[in-house]
Amino acid sequence: MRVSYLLIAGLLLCSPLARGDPWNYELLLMPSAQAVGTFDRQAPVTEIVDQVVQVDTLFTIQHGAFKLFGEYLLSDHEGDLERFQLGWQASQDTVIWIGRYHQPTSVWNHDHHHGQYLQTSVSRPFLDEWEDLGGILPQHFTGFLIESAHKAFGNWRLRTAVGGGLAPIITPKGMEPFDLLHPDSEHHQVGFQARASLHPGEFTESGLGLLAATDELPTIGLAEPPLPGLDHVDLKLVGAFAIYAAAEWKILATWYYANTQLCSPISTVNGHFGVGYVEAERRLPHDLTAFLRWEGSADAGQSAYLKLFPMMVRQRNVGGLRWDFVERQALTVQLSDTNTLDGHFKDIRLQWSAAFL
Amino acid sequence: MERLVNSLRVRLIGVVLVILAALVPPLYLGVSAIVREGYAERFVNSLRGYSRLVADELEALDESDFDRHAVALLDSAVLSGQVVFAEIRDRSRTLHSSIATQSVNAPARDDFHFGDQGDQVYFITHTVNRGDHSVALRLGFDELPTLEQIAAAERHVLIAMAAFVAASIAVAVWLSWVIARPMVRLQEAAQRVASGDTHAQLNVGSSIREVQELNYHLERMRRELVGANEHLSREIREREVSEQKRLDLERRLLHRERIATIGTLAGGVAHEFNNIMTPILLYSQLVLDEVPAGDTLADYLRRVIAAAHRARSLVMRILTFSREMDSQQPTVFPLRVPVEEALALLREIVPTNIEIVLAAPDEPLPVLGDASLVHQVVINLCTNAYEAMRRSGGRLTVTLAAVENPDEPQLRAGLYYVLQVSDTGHGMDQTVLAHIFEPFFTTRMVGEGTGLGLSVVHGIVSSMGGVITVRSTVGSGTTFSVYLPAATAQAPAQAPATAAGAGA
Amino acid sequence: MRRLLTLILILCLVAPARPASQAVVLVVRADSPVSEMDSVTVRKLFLGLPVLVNGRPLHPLRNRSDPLLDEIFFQQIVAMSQSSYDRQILIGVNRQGWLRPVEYSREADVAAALTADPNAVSYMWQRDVGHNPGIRVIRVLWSD
Repeated sequence: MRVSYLLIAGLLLCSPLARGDPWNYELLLMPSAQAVGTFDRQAPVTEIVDQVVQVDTLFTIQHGAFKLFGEYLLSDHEGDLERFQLGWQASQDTVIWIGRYHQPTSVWNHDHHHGQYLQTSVSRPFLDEWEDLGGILPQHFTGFLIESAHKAFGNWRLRTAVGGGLAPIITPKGMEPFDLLHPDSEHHQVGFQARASLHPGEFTESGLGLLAATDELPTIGLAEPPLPGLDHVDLKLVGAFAIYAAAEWKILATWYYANTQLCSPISTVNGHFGVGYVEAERRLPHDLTAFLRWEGSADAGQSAYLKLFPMMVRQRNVGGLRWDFVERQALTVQLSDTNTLDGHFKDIRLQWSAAFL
Repeated sequence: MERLVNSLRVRLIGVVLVILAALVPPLYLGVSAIVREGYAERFVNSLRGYSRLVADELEALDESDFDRHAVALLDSAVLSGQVVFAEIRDRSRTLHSSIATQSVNAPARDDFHFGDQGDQVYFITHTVNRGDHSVALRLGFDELPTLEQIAAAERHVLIAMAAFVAASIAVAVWLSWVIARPMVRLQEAAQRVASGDTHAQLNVGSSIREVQELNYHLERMRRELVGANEHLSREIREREVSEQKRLDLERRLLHRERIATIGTLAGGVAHEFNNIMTPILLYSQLVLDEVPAGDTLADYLRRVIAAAHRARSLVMRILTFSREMDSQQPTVFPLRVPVEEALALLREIVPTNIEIVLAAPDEPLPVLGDASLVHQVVINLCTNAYEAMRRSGGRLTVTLAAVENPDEPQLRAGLYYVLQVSDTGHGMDQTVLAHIFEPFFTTRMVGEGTGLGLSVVHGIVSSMGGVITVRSTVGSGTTFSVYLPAATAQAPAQAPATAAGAGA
Repeated sequence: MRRLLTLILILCLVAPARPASQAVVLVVRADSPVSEMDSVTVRKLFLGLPVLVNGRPLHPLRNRSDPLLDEIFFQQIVAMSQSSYDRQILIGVNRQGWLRPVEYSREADVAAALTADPNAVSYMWQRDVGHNPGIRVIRVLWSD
């Protein structure tokens, strides 16, 4: 039976526990459209795969301490139920989810998810790219997620998130997460993630954090795997992040160290690589925000694992300007200079994004 | 003034100025409002968050030594740089910051918008729970730095707008020049064409597509105009030539008709006259036969008979003039033969003070016609020549030659043989030359000539498809040139000549 | 002199009467489990963060019956500008499916919603509370 139906049924079954509480709902639409132009290509594989037009729809149905929360993304090349979670507000600071979620070790995706309007730049750091857009790390899991916040010391708060669920598989098309609408759990294996961060206040974005994840990613149907007979990949991640957000400045940085083990029935290939980014944003007068981002990697060229992802960005410089010209609408222009594993290109993007409540 | 206003450049610049005048002021006002709103929003957001933090701190303060901690909190707020007024009202008492701040008159009510109440200080009050009672934390935030930032930003906007306007005007001027210049050049070129210089090419070399197309079509029009002009000119010339030819032909036709009429008349009279002369000659001869020789009467009769013969001869000549020249079937004969025969005869009767010279090539010079008529022509022309030199003597030159495409307008292209008879006599003036081929025209005394000789020559030559011309200089002599088409190749078609005596 | 006094009296009557000291109070249903709430919790509640009492989430109601109440809401309760508040709401909805406070544009609707839900929390002018026994004041949020 489809997981989505299970979750809806779950909400209904839990509703007696919330007797006396009203049903509340919320709907948020975040449309965006962008124009992309590439130039100065110097490689065989320099295509940009990206949504040109998309609408990110978020909906919440809450009854007491239970809520059903989903995110549906409709774009020019896909329509996908990106998140679908049944949540229970176990305490004021803790919520337990089951369903399909974005893994918490991705700082960027945990903050912005699929909504373009809420992120300053047009494109996200490549290490956080979605699986169907050539991403190298699993982002969508189907299982459980526990998020909580605790008082640490003084005004400092400790926020944690722990998740576990079905990880994506690796196919010739790239990484493919478990699809709620067309479920096929035959090949998917379980992965786990954990995140812990300290923040100087209740309502501030600033903070420092540690990240860890372990995944087993089966490989299916690869024509020319880097290891003959490749069966699955064991991926272990550790990372750290820091965010500084003050009145006009926001600086965020993330770094992962990935340990990979490519496994076939008869052999394994070990490898590792590092990947990360630093982004600085500055709010300027006239509702302008300038941003600059550096993305880099270490040992990416030697990684057998990364050979599975031809769009892997080895290094990229991004810069641009966002203008919030009216309430809840923004225009962003972004320039990128991208080096992939075997090529190079530049691109310019112009994006309109909005949020409608 | 109207001319200036209607010029393309002025209009283009005018349109740009009107658009700028319509758009720039509301744009400046709009942008200024956005700028002001942006700065105000940031200011308000910042102070609300900060004051909330201070209020939360105050709420969390322990009751013991509250006053000291509260004043310290107020001091830290003032030291943050944004706060110019800080007080806590607790029931009936008021606590102030120990750091001296500028004198500020706190108004009765709070501000909720930037710039409220016009005092350049944003007042905000937080009600803080203190166990069993509430205290009011009132802070005043200095709006002046933000106001200065807004003013600076508005100045920048104004400068940017001014720069934009200046740049727009400069671009408009340049653009109008770029657009108008090829139009002006086209206009000048068109003026030159209109004033007659149709060969002045229209080529302005512009990169603007519409101007290029206009240039191309105007140039096409010019070429068609030039072509039409030339065509018209050619037609006019051809018509003039045709008209001239028509007039010429009319004149010739008239001449021929007159000659034909005269010929017909003369022919009729001559024929009758010939009939009358026959019995006169006959009976005079009979009487002479009866009269003894040596008798005075015989002498008289001989004179009568001679006169009658002369009269008959004249009649024959008139009949020859009036008769159609095709009485004998034309044959090809060498031109030289009748010429030599005629000259031989002339040498017998021409006085010795006149030298006769023949210059002819050895070729036969075949022509199509009647040899006897050519003989007649030579006799008549030489007779006139020797009459002109009778008293003074001179030289009579007869020339035969072949001429290819003679330079005579009446003659078609082809091979002709020219018979020239030149004398060194007294010559003729233009008045005489104009009439010499007319029948009965003569410069001699009555009885000395009939005036038909050259008419006959003209008729004979015309009937043979030829042309006779004359050149004469008074006191020097006269040259008659007879052009006869050669019979060697296909005989060229007969020129439109008037045959002498061609009337019915 | 009499005319001057009469004129002053008329002006005083005609001029808008300065209201008596006014206050905005945080209110719940009379039998609500909520007895007190600090300013941080109030802020969290109206920013959409989950606030639980006895294991049940509280339901914030936003009173938009008076433009001044809106200003006090931004200035005193959430302590941020309207655009910052909008962004915070968007972030919360996007990240964890938080709900915006339900909004009411009439005083009567706020009171009705409060009295219908034991876990509802809202705010209103203190003068409007006085004649409604079904509503209880938690704390004073602002007074002039």
